[in-house]
Amino acid sequence: MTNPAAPLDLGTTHTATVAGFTFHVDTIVATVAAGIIVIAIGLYARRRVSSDRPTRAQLAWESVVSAAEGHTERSLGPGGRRIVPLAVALFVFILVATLLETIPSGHPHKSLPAPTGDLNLTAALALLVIGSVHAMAIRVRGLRGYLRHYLEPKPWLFPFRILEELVKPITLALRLFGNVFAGTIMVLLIFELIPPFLAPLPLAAWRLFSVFVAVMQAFTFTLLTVLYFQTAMEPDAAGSAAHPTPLTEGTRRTENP
Amino acid sequence: MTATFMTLNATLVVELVVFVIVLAVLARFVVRPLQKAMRQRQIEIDQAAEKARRVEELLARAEADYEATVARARREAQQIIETGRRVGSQMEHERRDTPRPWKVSSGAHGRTAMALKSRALHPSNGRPFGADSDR
Repeated sequence: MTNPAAPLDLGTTHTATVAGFTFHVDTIVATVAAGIIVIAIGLYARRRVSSDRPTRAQLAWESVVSAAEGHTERSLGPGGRRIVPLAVALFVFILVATLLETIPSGHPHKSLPAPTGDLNLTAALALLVIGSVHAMAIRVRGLRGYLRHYLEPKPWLFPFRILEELVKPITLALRLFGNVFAGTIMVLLIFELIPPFLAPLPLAAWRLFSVFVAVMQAFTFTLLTVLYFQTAMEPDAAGSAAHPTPLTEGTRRTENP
Repeated sequence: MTATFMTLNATLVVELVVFVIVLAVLARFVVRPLQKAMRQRQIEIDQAAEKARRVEELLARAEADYEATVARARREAQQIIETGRRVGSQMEHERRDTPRPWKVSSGAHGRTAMALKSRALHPSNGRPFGADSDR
């Protein structure tokens, strides 16, 4: 047990500077490792894809794909199928990346820290998601419709709509980062405050809880992504739907015979 | 050199590139084939369900045909039985109404009656076979 008065080391990462740009080496290594694991288990499942005799790995992937399909179709209609690959990739990647922390790879500086515990990864994911949401909104509404929806329902709400859009990636990134980073702090606290011979027990309990946290965080991030897409594609106050439905198609025909 | 996990820097770009690569590989080589297999399975399930529905319809129709055939056969059997009974009853009445030239009884009288009956039914009317009636 260390001196309680000493400041707690909240975790640092090794850095490298290339051409004036700083990189978190540990995070990059862990992210690449997570990516390789995800691709490897994906290709392993894909190796024997069969419609009549699926393997266990295929069924596990299918359950994720099926859940993503069901959720996107309920939220976005048939047009939601386009974001199924993004939803699946986000869920599996975040899950694997967060679970990397449960692999004992050193303390306090891990060889494989959870890359989702680094703000750079969560911010990258959030920016990608929000960028895709806006791109999809422009594609479905058209540029004019996309810009007009910032003035609805009332034009004086425009600053708040802009603020809302700016806050979305920040909250998305910080939510995932905060939850995973809190897990890292918990592990540090267990090692700092509990005698070493007693530490394995609460550590094991926390690791088990971390698995649950990883699943929940991956699910939450994916769910919020789908919801942001839904918000971007839902009908605006003028009645023009982002994704054409039979009702709105009929309405348009009536208005412009 | 170290930094905290809360420092935003060029790592973000690398992370973005890594995730985009993962997304592209998963979308192209994993999710799409899985979706194709799932759709194929759904088509097969739908076809099997449709086939089962058709077989059930055929079975129901065959059962109805069977029931109708059995009912018709029972009716016909009943009619045949009724006809047989009626004919039997009629014959019985006719037999009773027709006066009998002999009376079947035991003893010498009975044997006489049987002999008479036998002669009456015999094609040669009691004459030995081969005997000419004119001679």
